[in-house]
Amino acid sequence: MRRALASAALLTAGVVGFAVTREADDSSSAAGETGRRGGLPVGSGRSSGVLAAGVEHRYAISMDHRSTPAQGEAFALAVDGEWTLGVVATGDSRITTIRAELHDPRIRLRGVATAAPRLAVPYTFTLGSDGRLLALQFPRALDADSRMVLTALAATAQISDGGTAAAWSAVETDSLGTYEARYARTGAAITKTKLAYNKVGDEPIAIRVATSSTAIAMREDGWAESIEQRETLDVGFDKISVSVTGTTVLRHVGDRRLISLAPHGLETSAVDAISTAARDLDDREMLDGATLADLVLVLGSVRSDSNASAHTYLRMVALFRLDADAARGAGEQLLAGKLDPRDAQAVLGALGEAGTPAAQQALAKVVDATAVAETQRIAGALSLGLTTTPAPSTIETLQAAARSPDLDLSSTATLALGNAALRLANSDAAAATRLVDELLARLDRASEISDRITLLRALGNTGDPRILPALELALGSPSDLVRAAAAESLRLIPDGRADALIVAMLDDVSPIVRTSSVFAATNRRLDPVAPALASHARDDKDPAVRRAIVELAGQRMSELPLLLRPIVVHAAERDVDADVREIAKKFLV
Amino acid sequence: MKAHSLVVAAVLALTPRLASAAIDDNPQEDPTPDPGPSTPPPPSGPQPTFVKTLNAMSCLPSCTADWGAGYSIGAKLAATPAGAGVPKDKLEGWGELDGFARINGGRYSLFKVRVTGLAEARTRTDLSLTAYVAGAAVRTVPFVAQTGTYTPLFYGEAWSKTFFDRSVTVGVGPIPVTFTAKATGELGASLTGRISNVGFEASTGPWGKASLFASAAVGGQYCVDYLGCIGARAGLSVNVTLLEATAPFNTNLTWSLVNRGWGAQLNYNLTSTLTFKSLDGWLKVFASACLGGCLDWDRKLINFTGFATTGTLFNVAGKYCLSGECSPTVVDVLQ
Repeated sequence: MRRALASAALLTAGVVGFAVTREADDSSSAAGETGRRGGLPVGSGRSSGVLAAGVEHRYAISMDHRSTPAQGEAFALAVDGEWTLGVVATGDSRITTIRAELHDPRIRLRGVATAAPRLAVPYTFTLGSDGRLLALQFPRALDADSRMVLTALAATAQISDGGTAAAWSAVETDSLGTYEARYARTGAAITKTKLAYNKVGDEPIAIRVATSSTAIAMREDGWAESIEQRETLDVGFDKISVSVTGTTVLRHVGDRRLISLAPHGLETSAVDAISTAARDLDDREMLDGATLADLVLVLGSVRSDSNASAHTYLRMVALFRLDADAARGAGEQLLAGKLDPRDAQAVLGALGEAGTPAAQQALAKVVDATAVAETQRIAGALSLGLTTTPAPSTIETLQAAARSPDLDLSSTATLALGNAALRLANSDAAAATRLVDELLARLDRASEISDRITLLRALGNTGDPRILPALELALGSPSDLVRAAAAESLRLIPDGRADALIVAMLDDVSPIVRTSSVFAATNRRLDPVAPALASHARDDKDPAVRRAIVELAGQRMSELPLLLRPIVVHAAERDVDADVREIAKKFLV
Repeated sequence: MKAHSLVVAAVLALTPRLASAAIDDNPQEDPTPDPGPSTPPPPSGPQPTFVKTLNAMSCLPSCTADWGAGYSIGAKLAATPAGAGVPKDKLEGWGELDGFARINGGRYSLFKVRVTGLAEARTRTDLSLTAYVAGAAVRTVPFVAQTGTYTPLFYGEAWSKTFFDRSVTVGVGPIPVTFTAKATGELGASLTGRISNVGFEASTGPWGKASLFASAAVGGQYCVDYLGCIGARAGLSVNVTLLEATAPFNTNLTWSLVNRGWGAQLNYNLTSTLTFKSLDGWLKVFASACLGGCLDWDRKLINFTGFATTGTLFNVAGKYCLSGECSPTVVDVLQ
């Protein structure tokens, strides 16, 4: 996830410059606050300088969270224990590192209580000079769910510094993301209210603060006497959302001398780290204990029901991810021709999407087997090209298939090599480069138009900027079809020259080439090409080209409303073609 | 959020949206110039004198909805007589079906199938079918004819694919919540007919279907040394048809000399019937837990029926005198 990576980069840089906005309502109080600092759970009431090291502060904690999916079953999780905190380091840029440890943790999950020693690991977290939680450092082996509990504790106790102001605002971060908070102080009592969250990174997940209130009582020494947070958050999108109500209470129970140092061998984790790793739990839930035989049987019985077929297909993907033997067994059934052809194509697709070594090997055997039906070998090659992490043996299989005298298998394997190069680019750049070089060399040797078109499309699948010279050459071909294939192959290249070529090819004499240029733009940022698209939406002679532009502008109007909406409005009102006008109007309803 | 009311609202919002079609024999003349259409200047280079196009698009429940799906369909027949820069009479035709989904406000291409034919009279005809999955070209099937002898076309395939797959886990306090959205289905195409160096006669049937599976699962797995892991999950999931679209085209565009060689005549035919279905499905809640014994439980909350339509988008056939003097009996007939 882009956000997680950005945060990680920031942390690597020592957190210097981490943007924090804070706005004191009381300007007279806010004046002269320079050098004051907040902390966790110290801070807001503290007016002295750097936090003192050497003391461990003990808090009894109780977290009780209940989550209700819309119309669903409640899920309850509670954690109790004693949480100790102590300053272990203060950096040059006034970043403070706190050592934390949860002692004797107990979990209650759906009413069943148990000890949870895995949570009893020392970890650290860092605070900015204003008390904001910047990052956490966990033992590498600590699982994601335990990290979530320990992060939630640190985030709950987060108190931004308000100096001596009676009220102030701050931007803070917790496991969901960045939020705006409002503070109010009455003597030693502080109240914090979360106002609103930003969206979860790049994810289309909205967060609504239904209720939020944190009561904080401060001690004379600047550490908190108690923190009591109550809040309800609604998280999700449209029909799929959950509501989480949580109460977290921290009460100071004593201090003692801190003798432990910061543990070694920790890894840094962003406060709002998002997990996108495939989780066995999801797959197991999807699979629900079914075997390959069960799923093949279900597939046969639900052919007329698209939703049930698609769901069964997803369960098959889960099965192949979880169970290498099942993937191998599926491959054997394909080789033996035991599957109905309609089930076989689902199994081939599912193996490719599972993408495990066993699944790739099973597919490779099918592609290699000349005795297997040609359509299945082709579907196998297609699936191998789309697998997330192609293995070296997969590439060898596709390379061999691309040399096959069977032209359909050969062209499909060639396209698949392009797709595999794109997927390898991050994990094995050298292998990806070799594949692109190989495809470029083949294009150089190809003389037949259809071969050149296939190779151009394969190169287009790679998204590698090094293909640009070859595409430029092909864009000058006398063949409309070659120019069209070259134009569409610009779509994934992350280079401004590709935008310039797309714009140039909008002036091609052939409408097939011009629509291919619009197609290439659909996969890209539109700001560099939007002015040219606007011009062609008005002036292109061919209604199919104008329709393609209007559709693109309409679908992505929210991204660049100032540039794209006028295209749609003009087409709706003034295009000479009734179809184009009709299509444009659908985006303006 | 109230899932039931949202689903019902989505279903109620469905209204039949048959694609419209128009025929432009001469794109410089529009039968309905109102409301003040602008006249595009021609691009440089020789232009076709014969053009017939179809452009249609539909979205459910609407093209501005955060959730939904749609299709776009386009087809065209065109011919350019030989002249400066065009050594031979040139015939072109293409048809495409594009399926897309809108998932929480984002637009995602699911699949696209495009068939393109290009003929230079009495020299060469190229016909190709290309399939794309989520922006990746996965299949291209070319046919070439360089003689007057007809080459038969016979092709048909289908593939199962997940077109869109996104899963993310966020911590709402200490509770992990995993959101998943997957658009899964099938993409297929068929092509039958024949080609020679004077054109093509083809029936092509691109089709695609995609179902959306989305879920929010609350809970995780908490591992206890020596005892193993305890876990519990609860959530809800929805499985709906995003779209099922089938758009068979029958296309015929051939060139022949008539009137003892004094004229070059086109025979053309383009018909298409679209079948489109969307938003059938169910919404269910589920729970599972393993705490000294496992339990699994689920219940369907709503079964809902969506929308389906079948309609002829385009049906045109006739003859057209591309150049020279054709027989006086040759007229351009629209049906």
